[in-house]
Amino acid sequence: MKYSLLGKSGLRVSELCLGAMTFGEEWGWGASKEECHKIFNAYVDAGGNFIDTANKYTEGTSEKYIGEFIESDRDRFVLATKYTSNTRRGDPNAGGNHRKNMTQSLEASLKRLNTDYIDLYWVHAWDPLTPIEEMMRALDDMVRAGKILYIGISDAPAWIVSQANTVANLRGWTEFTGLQIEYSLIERTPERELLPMASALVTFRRWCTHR
Amino acid sequence: MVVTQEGNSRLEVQNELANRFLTDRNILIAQEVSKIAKEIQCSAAQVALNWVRQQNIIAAASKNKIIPIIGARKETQIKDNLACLEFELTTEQMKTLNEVSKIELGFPHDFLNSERLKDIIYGGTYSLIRNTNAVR
Repeated sequence: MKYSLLGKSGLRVSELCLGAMTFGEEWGWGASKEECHKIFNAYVDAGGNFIDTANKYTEGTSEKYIGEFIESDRDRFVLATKYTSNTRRGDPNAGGNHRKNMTQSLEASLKRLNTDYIDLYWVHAWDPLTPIEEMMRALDDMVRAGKILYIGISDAPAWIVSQANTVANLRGWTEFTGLQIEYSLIERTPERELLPMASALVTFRRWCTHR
Repeated sequence: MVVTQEGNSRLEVQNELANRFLTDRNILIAQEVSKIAKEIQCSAAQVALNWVRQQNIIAAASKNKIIPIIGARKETQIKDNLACLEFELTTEQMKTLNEVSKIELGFPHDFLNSERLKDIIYGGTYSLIRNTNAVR
């Protein structure tokens, strides 16, 4: 396993990332804790250091398992999680990209992951109801507070990511360093807008875990 | 092409996903992937992963900037995926896969790439300009 530099940053990430959406059986198609530990160990034994989860995956179980697996060697890992998804059905402020949901989602992830910082914090999906300036400034505040180190965005139109990074750059805020999207032999439509944008602005990572 | 998976796979649990993925076009692509996998005696997943890892269709600089996120329900699956690091697809295999999976870029990309428009913008000088600024 070799390492890549994440986007335009100096952060070293292994050339394959471990996706942890399968960690936990709450969604009916995941793996038991014992099997998850074996999967995690196989990845680490092969030289992997880059773990991807989300606050909503298996209703929090994925983050809890990872928190346990990395506990004895936390700083070796590039730990990535995400926010956006609603975590309290019926509560409009428990989902979306605004500052209140970002704050409560991040605090809850830190608790489940049993750590005091996230290496790479992803906006999980575009929320058209939240102004881009509010989201970028709030993310920058989290970086300055030391709670997160780098930021990225998943599942968003190219023009939104371009606008967000341009605004952040002009105002001296933290810019997105990564783009997480679906890209595979059967989904090449990101070649229209997202990939050329990522070539110019950020790096990109593919999501595709159809197990 | 075998599309059934053993027990509790995501496609079995989420019918909506299965319906989205199991189209005639995707099955054709999968058949090509399986054919190459058989030829070089690796798994279909490894071929699909390496197509992504070696992808530089957008810009040469983008090669090795794509980091696949691999997920598994079983240790055997993750070990299989990790082994994609042990080989590369040939130029010929990449070409075959690119061909079977190609898409139309649509407007404005196809329009901008047309010879007619290049002539309108560059007035016959396009081939004389060394293009060191290309993104695509």
